[in-house]
Amino acid sequence: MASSVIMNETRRAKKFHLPDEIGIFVVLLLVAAVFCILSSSFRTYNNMLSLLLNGAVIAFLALGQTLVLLTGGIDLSTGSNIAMTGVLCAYLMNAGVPWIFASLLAVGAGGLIGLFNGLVIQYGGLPPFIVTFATMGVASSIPLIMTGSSSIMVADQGFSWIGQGTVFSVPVPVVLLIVFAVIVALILSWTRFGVQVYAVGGNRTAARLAGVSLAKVTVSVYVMSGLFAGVAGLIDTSRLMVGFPTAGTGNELFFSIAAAVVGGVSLFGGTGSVLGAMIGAVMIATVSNGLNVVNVNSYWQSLVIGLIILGAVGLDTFRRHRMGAPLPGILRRRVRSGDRQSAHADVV
Amino acid sequence: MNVEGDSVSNEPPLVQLRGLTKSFGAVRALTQVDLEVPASQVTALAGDNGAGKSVLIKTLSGLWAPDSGEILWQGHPVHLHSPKDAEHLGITTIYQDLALCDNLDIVQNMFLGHEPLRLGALDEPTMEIAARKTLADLKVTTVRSIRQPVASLSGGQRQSVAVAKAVMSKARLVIMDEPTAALGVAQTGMVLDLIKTLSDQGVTVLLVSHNLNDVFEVADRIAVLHLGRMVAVGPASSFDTQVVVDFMTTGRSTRFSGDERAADLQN
Ligand SMILES: Nc1ncnc2c1ncn2[C@@H]1O[C@H](COP(=O)(O)OP(=O)(O)OP(=O)(O)O)[C@@H](O)[C@H]1O
Ligand SMILES: [Mg+2]
Repeated sequence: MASSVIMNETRRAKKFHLPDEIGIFVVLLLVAAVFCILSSSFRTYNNMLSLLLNGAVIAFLALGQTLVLLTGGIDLSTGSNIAMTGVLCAYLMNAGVPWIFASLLAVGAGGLIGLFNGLVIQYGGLPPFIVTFATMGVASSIPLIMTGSSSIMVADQGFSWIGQGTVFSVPVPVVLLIVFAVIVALILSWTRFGVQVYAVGGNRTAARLAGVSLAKVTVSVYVMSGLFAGVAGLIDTSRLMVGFPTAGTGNELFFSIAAAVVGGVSLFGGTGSVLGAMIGAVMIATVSNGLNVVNVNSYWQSLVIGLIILGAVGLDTFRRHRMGAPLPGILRRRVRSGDRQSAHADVV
Repeated sequence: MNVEGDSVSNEPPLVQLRGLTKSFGAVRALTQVDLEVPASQVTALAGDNGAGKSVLIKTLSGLWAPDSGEILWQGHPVHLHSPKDAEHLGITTIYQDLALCDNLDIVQNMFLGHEPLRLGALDEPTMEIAARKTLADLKVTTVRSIRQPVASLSGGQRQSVAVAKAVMSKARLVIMDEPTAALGVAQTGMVLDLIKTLSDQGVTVLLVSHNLNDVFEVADRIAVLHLGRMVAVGPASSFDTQVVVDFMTTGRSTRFSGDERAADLQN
C-alpha cells in the first residue's frame, strides 16, 4: 500500500514538472500549420503582421485579465474600457493636449475604472462578476455621452507611433506587449506580491491568516487590468487614428477571456501563467484571423472560439480534479473509483 | 515531555487566562474560564461539542475579544485585537483546512507572508534551505520534494507543513484545532509524533481534540471544558479516559485527583 501511494505521488510530481504551456504551444503550432496549408494568404508577411496587431489588443486585455483571474476574480469591464480610454485620448488630443500626456491620462482613466472595481469588490463585498458587469455598462456609455456617438478623428500625427510605428521593424504594439508581459511575468514569479496573487486565488482564508493583505492584492490586480485595457484602447485608436465610441464592445472581452483560459489560466483562480495567456492570445488571434482568410463567414468565429473555451475549461476542471479538487456532476461518479482513493490512503 | 506531576516552577506560565467570559447574544460561550498553559508542554483542551473550545482558541488567537477577563502572556496582561497581535507575541493557530494554499508549493506555503527578499526579489535558495532544515528538525521525512504543490500531499503531510510554517514564523505557542480529525491511523501517528517533537524543541502546544487516545498519547496536561466552564485542569497522569469522559459529559467526576473546578465553586 505504501508503495502504491509513493508511485502515485511520483506520477503526480512528473505532471507538475512538465510546463502546461508546452501543450497549448504545440496546439498553436498545429493550428497555424493547418491554416498555412489551407491558405496561401495566411502565410504572407502582411497577414502575420495584422494577426499580431489584432493579437496585441487581445493580449493586453488578457494580461490584465490573467492577474484578475489568478486571484479568483473576473473583469468584464475591460472591453468597454477600450472605447472609453480610446475616445478620451482622442478627445484630449483634439483639445490640444500633447499626445504623450493625452495617452498617459487615458491610461490613467482606465486605471481609475479598475480602482473603482477593486475598491467596490473588496470593501463592498460584492461579487466581481456583478461589479465589473456594472462598470462594463458605465464604461461603454461614457464615450457615447462624450461624443454623442460620433467618432473622433485624431489630428496629432505623433500619436500614430503607438499603433503604427515600429522599433527595429517590430510593430510598437508588439514591443509594448512584450515589455509589459515580461514585467508582469517577473512580478508574478519573483516578488512577494506575485506569490500573494496566487495565494489569494488558491485559498483566501489561508492567505489572510498568513498575513496577506487581501485588499492590497485585490485592488492592485483590478487597477492593473484597467491600466492594460487603457493601453489596448490607445493601440486601437492609434491604428486608425480614430476614437470609436463603440470600440471594444465587440469580441474583445470575449476573446481576451478565451485567450487566458485557453492558455491555462483557471477561471477558479490560483493557477496559470502570463506565458500561457500570451500563447493563448496568439492562439485566439490565429483562429480568428485564420477563419477570416480561409473565407469562413465571420459569424462562425465566436462559435468556434466558444467551443474552444468550453474545451479549455473542461480540461482545467479535469486537471484540478487530478490535484484533489472535487469534480462536479456526472464526471465525479465516473472517475472517483479510480486513482483518487489511493491518494487519500492512510499512508504517509 | 518534561513534566513530573503538576510541576510549578518559579517562572510564570507562558499563557494564563483569568476569568475569561464571552457571550454571543444570549449564548454564553465561555464563563469565567481560568487556564494556565505552561511553557514547553503540551496542554490538551477537551470538551464536548459546543463546550466552547473553538471560542477559547479564537479568543487566544485574537479573532474575538473577550467580554471580560484577561489574558496574561508570560505574566503580563495583553490585549489581542487581531490575529496580527497574537502572531507578534508568537501565537500561531493551525485551523484545519484553512492553513494552506493548495495551489502553492511547500516552500511558498511555509513562507507565505514572511518571504525573505534579496535585492527586492524572492530569495528562493534561502527559503529552500530553511524549509528543508525546518522539516528535518521536525523529523518530517516522507515529503518527496519541497517544491511540490500542497494539493498533492496527504492529510498528515499537510499538517506537517502547517506546523513547519508555524515553527518558521518563530511561534512560541502553537494552537492546533482538531489536527487529527480527518486522518487515518498512520497519519494520526505522524501528527502526534510531530507534536511531541515540537514540544521537545521547547514550543508550547495547545491541542484541541475530541480523540482521547490522542490526548493521552501526547498531552502533559489536560483541561476540560463543559458548557463554557473550565471543569477540570491537571497533569495528564491525574486523569484516565473515564474521568475525562465524565467531565466532558456531566461536568464532574468522583474519581479525580487533580484540580477540579466545579462550576458552583466559581464566581
Ligand atoms: N460566532 C458565533 N456566534 C454565535 N454563537 C457562537 C459563535 N461561535 C460559537 N458560538 C456558540 O458558542 C458555543 C461554543 O461553541 P464552540 O464552537 O466553541 O464549541 P466547540 O467546543 O468548539 O465544539 P466542537 O467540538 O463542536 O467544535 C456554542 O453554543 C456555539 O453555538
Ligand atoms: Mg470547535
